[in-house]
Amino acid sequence: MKSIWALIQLEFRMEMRRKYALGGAFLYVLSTVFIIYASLQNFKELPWNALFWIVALFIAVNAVAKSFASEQDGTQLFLYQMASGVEVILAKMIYNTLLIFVLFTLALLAFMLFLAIPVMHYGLFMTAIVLGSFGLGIVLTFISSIANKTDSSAVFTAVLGFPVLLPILLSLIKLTQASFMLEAESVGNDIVILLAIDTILVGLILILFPLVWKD
Amino acid sequence: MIKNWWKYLAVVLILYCIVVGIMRPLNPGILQVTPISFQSGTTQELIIGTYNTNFEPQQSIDAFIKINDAYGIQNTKLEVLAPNELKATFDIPAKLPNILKRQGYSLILSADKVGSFARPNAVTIVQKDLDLDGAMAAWPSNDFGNFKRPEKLNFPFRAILYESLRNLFYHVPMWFGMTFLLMGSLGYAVRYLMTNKSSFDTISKSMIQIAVLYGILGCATGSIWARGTWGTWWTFQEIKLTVSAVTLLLYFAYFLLRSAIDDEAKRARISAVYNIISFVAAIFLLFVLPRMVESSLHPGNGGNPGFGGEDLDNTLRTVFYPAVIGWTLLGFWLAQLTYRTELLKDYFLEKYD
Amino acid sequence: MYLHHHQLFPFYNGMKVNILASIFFLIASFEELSAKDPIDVAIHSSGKIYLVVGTLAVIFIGIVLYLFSIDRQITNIENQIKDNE
Repeated sequence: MKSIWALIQLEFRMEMRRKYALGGAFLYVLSTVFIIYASLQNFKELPWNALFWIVALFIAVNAVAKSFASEQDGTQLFLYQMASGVEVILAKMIYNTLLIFVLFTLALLAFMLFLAIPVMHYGLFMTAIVLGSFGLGIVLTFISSIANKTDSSAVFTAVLGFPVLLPILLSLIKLTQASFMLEAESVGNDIVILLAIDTILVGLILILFPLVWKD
Repeated sequence: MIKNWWKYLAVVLILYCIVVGIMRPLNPGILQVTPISFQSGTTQELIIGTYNTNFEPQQSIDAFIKINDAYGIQNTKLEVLAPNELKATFDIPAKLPNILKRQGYSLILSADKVGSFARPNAVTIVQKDLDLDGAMAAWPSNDFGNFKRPEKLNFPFRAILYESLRNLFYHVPMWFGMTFLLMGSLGYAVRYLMTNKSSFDTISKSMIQIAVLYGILGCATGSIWARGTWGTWWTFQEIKLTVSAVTLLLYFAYFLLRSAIDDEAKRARISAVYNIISFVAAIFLLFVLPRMVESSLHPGNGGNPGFGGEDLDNTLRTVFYPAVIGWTLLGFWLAQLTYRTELLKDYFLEKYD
Repeated sequence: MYLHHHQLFPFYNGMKVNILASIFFLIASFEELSAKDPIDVAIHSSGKIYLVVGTLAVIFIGIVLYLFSIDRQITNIENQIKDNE
């Protein structure tokens, strides 16, 4: 537990050291929203939903894709030698989930600022964002660890990640769509499915990551 | 035990599903009725065009317009115009035992040998005024409900589908075969991770190759079927098409990943890991998400992506299940051929390099 | 709708059947089919059996393509063996 906390702190310090990465994500959100604002003034809920999740997906991929890139230089090797594979992936998944949650919230704020927001049920929408950042965080962390074994890890994070993420994204889109209605429809099933996918994936990842981490 | 008995079984079952699936006729059905709409209290001559019938001039045929489960109007005269055309005369009472002024009713034909068959919403009858009790009291007695049973059980007649119903034995088993191959591939991926034997990795990869081939064939055959029945080659409105396309993407990514890693052991390990993760995603895509949508053009929509009851009757089952087993076994056979070719390649690569 | 023998092969008697002629017959028979009364065609195609034919043809083509790819790989192995002997 202690080493996981230490690893999360390490991740955070590394993120702070390369400020351009986080700043890049912020700028990415703002510029995308501005382009949407400039090109379409008023549009309906469905395109709003689609654009939000497209922006969210790309921010998440950009933020997590380089998650394992810094391991190659071996600067932090000593710390990783002390921690087990399970601890490393847990720390990274927690850190990336938090990072993606912050970026999603930021994206939501930017969307609220520039584009009239059709959300009626903020509770439901925030549930979707929390579940979404969790699902995207764990899947993308693991996929980036796989992609890191190839020569072009950024490309492979996207290529391998998108189809795996699709069941999660489809459920998320349904959840946020329900949050646009005044009376939320039965979304219980979607939440259960999201939780089920997330649980199964976390379990599998904890078993499988040591195999990826081996060398 | 005969060596490779399952390959012979595959051949026999596929032969069976092609021969019986094509040769066995459909039950007769009603293609069109003219006129399709008229007033109550009139005498109507209906021209009924039927499918797959061979009516003879003297054959005894009864025609009914079904008002509800208890009440039906029987024909007064019936004339066979052609082997697939009838002229039936009905005296429509002025008052029908129905509380709706305008409604579509089923037309039922009942004949010797071929049995009885119906067309839902075949005719629309318009009533001038409603009198439920009066209509029930004055209803002429007839033997409605006493329908003849067919001598032979054939495939069901379904409007829109018609003969293309037989695609059930060729299109659907592609998806079953793909799923079983993916399961097999998952099993060998797990075995590889447990033993690190490179042959397991090759088997796993070969199975995915054939699974992808089956998936592509499933999409292509489904596309043809959709063009003829839904009127479109492809639609993203239909969840099953979307999820099957994404499942194929998952496994295209698998091959891309394999091609990007040079070290053999590392490639085998990483792709086995990705295989397991993508299988979870594929299960959610193929089996969970289609259950979540309200509407689907595929049978068994609204909660259940499979089919049962009305959509798969016993005559279809006798061919469908063998077809699934046969095409699946063929898939495993093709996967085995791929695997053995890979094995030969590796063997001679090592020997001569 | 159905073509009679003399329609399909109008000058079959005493004439050498070459490939060119057969292609001509093929095209002619397609035209014969398409030139029919549309209602007639609609009734005959309402069975939609052509969808089953198409489906089986697609599966057959898919499996044949797979066979060609296996064939090519085995040829490569054979060539390798020949080169090294």
